[in-house]
Amino acid sequence: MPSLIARTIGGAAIALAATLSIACGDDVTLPTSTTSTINTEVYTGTMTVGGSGFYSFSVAGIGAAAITFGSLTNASTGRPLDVAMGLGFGIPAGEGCNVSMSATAGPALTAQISAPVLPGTYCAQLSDVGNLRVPAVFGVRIVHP
Amino acid sequence: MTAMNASLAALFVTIAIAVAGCGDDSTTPTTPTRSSPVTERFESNLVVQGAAWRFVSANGTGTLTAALTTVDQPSAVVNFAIGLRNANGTGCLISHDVVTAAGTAPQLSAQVDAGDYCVKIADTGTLTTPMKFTITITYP
Repeated sequence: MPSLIARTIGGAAIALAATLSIACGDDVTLPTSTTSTINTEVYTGTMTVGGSGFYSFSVAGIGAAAITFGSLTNASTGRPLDVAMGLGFGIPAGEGCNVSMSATAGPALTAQISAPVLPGTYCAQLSDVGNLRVPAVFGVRIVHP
Repeated sequence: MTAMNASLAALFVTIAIAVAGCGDDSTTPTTPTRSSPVTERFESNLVVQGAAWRFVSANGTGTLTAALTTVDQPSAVVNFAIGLRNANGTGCLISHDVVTAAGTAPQLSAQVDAGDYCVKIADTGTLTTPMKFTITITYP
């Protein structure tokens, strides 16, 4: 017949095993990572001398919108134009774009405007600030959550 | 062996097994990484009055360079350009271009963000027969 001490040790072993088993259990709910989708849209069109245009886009998450005025070419020849244009970012208002951030820049392959955004509708605007001499085809890339 | 010794042995075995069961013996999958910068070659034929382009995807910010390295018509001069890839994937929105002959040094270079770009070669109107070419593109 096991002694009291032996039974105590045996009981402790069972209790410890149970405790450790619980500790090993997958009883912790790990936070799930939220993978925000990054969307890329390209706004293209033809800009007339003195003209302006905007493009509305919907943001689904929280993050930053990057706007790159990347291309401006002569509508007739297709050759690039190194012309500074007005680039803007804002919120659609009526039939226009209520610009809250703007830059005047020539075409480049890095973003000229980066703005924090919440879910909602925004707009990117491109306009001739007086430098354009011929109609031009433009390309503006918008990357947003 | 006394009952107490047997119980002690059982305790140690229990602890050993339980602790061993807690070991992290699983391998967490890792996301494949791409070396940067990437260098790739684009070899094709440029037809008379034609154009050809290649799309590349930059993983991050850095420098994109494009070099028209070889052509099989050494006297040929072509239009060579870089730009944004159109979102529908069907075209190249030109940002910068040069009219150039082949050479080893990049004729075009630009800072880029992560995203899709294009390198385009086009006949300036001087080709009379199709021309083989090689373009070397480096990007982050």
